[in-house]
Amino acid sequence: MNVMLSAIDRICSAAAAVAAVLLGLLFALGFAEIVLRSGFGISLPIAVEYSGYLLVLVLFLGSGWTLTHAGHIRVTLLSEVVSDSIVRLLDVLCSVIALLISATLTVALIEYAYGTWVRGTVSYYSSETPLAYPQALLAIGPAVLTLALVARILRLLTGRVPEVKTAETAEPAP
Amino acid sequence: MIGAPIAVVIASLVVLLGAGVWVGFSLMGVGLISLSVFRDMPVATFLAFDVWNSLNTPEIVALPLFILMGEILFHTRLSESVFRGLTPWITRMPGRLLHVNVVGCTLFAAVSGSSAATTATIGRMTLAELKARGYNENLAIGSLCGAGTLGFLIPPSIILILYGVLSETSIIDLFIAGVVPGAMLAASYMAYIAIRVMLNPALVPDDQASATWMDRLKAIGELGPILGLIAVIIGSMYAGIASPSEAATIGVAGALVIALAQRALTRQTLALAFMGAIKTCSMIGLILTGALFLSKAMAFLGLPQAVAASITALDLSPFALILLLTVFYIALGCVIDGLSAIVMTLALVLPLISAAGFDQVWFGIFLVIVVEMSQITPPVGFNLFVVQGLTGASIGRIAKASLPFFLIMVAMVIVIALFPDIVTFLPRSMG
Repeated sequence: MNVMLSAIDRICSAAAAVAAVLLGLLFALGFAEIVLRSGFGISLPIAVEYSGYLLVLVLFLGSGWTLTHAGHIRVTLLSEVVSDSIVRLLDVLCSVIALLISATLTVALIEYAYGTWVRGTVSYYSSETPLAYPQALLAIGPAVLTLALVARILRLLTGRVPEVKTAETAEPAP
Repeated sequence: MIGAPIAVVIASLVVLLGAGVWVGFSLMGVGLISLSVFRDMPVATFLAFDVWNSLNTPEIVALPLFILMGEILFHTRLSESVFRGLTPWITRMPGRLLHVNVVGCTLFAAVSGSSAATTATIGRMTLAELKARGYNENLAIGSLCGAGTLGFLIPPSIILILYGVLSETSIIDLFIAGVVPGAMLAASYMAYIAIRVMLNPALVPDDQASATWMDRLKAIGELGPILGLIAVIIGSMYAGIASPSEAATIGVAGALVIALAQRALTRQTLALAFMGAIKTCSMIGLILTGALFLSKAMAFLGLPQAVAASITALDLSPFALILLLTVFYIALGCVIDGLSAIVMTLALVLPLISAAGFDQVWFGIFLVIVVEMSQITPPVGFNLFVVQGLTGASIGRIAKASLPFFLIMVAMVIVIALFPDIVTFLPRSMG
């Protein structure tokens, strides 16, 4: 069990690290576009299109890691007034509901990407990028989140701590 | 019959959110449930289509970049510079260093899109310093909580970006419109502090701090980086040179330059800043996905028109409608964070607002101020949590210290409802 849980943790961290790198790329792409356009009058043909792809990945790839680091928002009013054992039970229930939704989203995104691949749809930009690729990458984020929810449920059921507190960041919450 | 879908949506939303299902999943779940029950359609396929199409939007690119900029600045010594730079300018004002909270938050809000980040960044510098010098702690805490909420109102603002995306309103117009109300709020906070201190001089220590004009001129150097960054970000957008995402890109570059100049740019701080940004992006990404999908689902079910029709049937005056919405959002803000409160209700509330003849830019600013109030109302108010983390004081005490500033915001809402031009004249004259 521990092997599996730590494997899922590593997948979550790796996906979040990739998201961080892609965020850096998103900045670099935007910066390159501004410099080239204002300095040399050249516009990168892929800038707008690829920043859109990078954006959806940045928003989703870190989702599983964010779950294990208590970063997703939930209403905690009820869990503050009931006993610890009920909190744990309720947490299992919520995690199972979230797992169902997350799995639905993951499967739907994979099917959507597959459908795009079968039809061979390409982007309407000049690059004519086959849209199945970014769409398939988009499905990875929810897939990792689904795994993180499985790990969370297993931890709750076996009396382990479901999430870790992280070092301070500028944005404790919105 | 429209009653059944409304009942299902509200009931499942209350149950899922109340039980503690994460907000994004709750919104997505309600959309999935209501469409499965009332519409014969491939619901999951529609969800996938919606996620891909609505998130792949150029305007949203500004969001992760502004978040990254705030994270990088958080790891610099910008707040210390702001403190040192402002101090000599306010030695003559009644309340002296208490104004650093307000002016510091106002300046930082102009380079940060979040209230919690603004409160945390300025507060970790000012609160300990004010306490050590013997300033009244309640006034110090209250003014920080109040002024910290300017993070959402003064551009760039995460909430205004989300509002712009969800309501299809120009983000630049929203950013322009937030400036005057933000400045008015800051001025009101400062006036309140000054009046309190004039009535009771014992609230501030009796040190004979003085500053020469030489000190003040030197202090401008300390403020240089933040003022420069504000000028570049806001200036480029207002001048029409840059889109919000381009301004955010320039902002990240500026933040990196400041971090480099302050020798705060290490591999470790950079990694912390990026991972912190990813955490916030993931959180917002999930909520935004859920909100966008639920909005589409509700539109499919005809709920916005139905709700608008039933509210119109009440024949409320526009002012009564705004009053009703204010009370509604303050109540909602007591149990849920402001960002979630806005994204989950917008699909239903916007048609009402348009029907009543309100300007969408005006309404965005109104919403932000009301939601800012929810940041400092217990039991759920994120600025309260931030200040609790900084001081260890109880939520009740912090909320009480913030109450006067809450009331100033209520007054501000009434003022902009009576005189909507305060919000709309600037975007209109610049647009």
